[in-house]
Amino acid sequence: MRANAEPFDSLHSAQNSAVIVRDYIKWDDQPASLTHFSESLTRAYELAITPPAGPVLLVADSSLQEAETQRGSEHLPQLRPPSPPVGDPGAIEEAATMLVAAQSPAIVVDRLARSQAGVVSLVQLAEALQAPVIDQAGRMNMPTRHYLNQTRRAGAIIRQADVIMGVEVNDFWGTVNALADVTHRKERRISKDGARLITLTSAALGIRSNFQDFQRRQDVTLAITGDGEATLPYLLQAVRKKLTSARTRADRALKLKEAAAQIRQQDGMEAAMAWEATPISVARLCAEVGKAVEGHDWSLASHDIGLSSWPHRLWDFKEHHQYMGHMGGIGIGYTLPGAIGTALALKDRGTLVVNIIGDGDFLCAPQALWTAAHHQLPLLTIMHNNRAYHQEVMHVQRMACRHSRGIDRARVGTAIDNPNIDFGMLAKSQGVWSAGPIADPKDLGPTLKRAIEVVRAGAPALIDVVSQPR
Amino acid sequence: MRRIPLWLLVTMATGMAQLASPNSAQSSDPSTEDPGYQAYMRNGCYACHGTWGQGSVAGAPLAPNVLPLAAFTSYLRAPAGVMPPYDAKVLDDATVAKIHAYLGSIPAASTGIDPFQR
Repeated sequence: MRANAEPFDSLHSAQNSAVIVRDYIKWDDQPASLTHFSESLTRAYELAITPPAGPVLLVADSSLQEAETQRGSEHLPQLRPPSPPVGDPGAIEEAATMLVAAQSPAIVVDRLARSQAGVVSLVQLAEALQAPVIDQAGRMNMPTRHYLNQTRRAGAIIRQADVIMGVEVNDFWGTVNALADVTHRKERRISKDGARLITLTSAALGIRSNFQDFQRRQDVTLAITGDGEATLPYLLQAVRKKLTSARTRADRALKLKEAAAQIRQQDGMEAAMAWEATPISVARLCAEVGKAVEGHDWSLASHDIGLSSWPHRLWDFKEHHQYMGHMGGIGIGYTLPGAIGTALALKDRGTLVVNIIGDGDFLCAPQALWTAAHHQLPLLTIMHNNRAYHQEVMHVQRMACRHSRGIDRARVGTAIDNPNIDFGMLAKSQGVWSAGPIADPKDLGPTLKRAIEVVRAGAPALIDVVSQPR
Repeated sequence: MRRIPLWLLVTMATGMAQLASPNSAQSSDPSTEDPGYQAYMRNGCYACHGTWGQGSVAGAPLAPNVLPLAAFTSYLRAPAGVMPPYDAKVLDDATVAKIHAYLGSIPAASTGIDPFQR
């Protein structure tokens, strides 16, 4: 880009390039000098990593890029990552008082844990209170096999809770209310009358006006502005000081352990249905992958919303790096690049990164596989190949039925078949080991074993699995 | 008539069915020649409920224990929640009966399957 008028040597230019993305990013700048660039780069990094974290953009005019510099004129600012914002001490005390006094406290988390410290603090707080945790899985927050992880009983937990605390929850209104996605929207309150609601989040510090993801506003008893992970240790300290009798909490613990055991049994029964089906059931797919990566240091870099949460229901998630959360807006196109970034970040750790990705999502940026091959990233990609933009198939079917016109055209523009895409060939064309398409569940185990050998040797692999829709 | 949520009845019944039929084996796919299976697939039921009616995040389990035909049909015509209605113009009673029969033919899950990661 050239800011001044010169003889033509560029086809395009712009006065305000950042405006295209300004609504989506935290900050942007267009430095005018090398000193300015150094300071802006340092500021950009500090802003990007300070909660609420977010992307930043620097625009460098070609004049700045190409100008001569004098050696010794460089200005290298000191990098001092700012401390994260912590909630007000008085509000923390108030929250602790409410939680300790509660008969049925509940904790809801979403984008809480930025590191393993966040996972540890959450577990300690939940155990101190014997409070069930509902993990909405924006990040890896609560270990899946911990008896206080009562995510599968979210409805019942919210209904009976007398104090509900949401920590970095993107949609708190949707947590305590239900909105039926029908033609004439119907909403109803789930939490009981008189339940005290607490929010702890840094979201207000990064809220944007134009493209909105803050959802509906919920009246609460106490709203604390602060980063969840940074604030939890202080809340835990306050709670521990106030805890007295352990009797009620022991009773709660027993009931929650029984409930957790029942959930596990139910999940086992539901996973076993359609075990031998073709196309392969999503439960079978996730069960086979889970068993194949047992014993390895693994990380699931893809979300499992479209997989009916089977990884969370069947795998033993314990540590923060084992789950990278989801794309945020149920959009597609993020998963493969996100998984590649995860594999790059965890490469030195020797982690086996798993990416179970829908075919529609994958097709937004399939060329990203070349990046994985070029950088020899330990990434195992499993195609959840349901041969459709399936969310659209379901939506179009619903609209068709509501208008009583039959669903025979629901697959027009939504199906990805006729011909079927050979994802194995697509992967091979970019230097990635591949297998498939696999439609018989009995072939999954042996193929996964071979693929993992490839990944452990330091290269990406892809298995195309013809799967059920959800 | 008071509508009984399908998801509730099927969820409760599924648990009992697992105990009642411990040795039923799901060893093979349903026949693609089955007119009920064909109707089930053609009308998009599989999209949310799975090809064996096993359920998913998008739709409740329908098998192995299916509601009686009258209740099944009633719910199909006027469902609660996000499931769209299938009126008689879109799905006539005879086709509903075929779909119902197909779902009724699906056995309970085999026992002895351990899907959990260690």
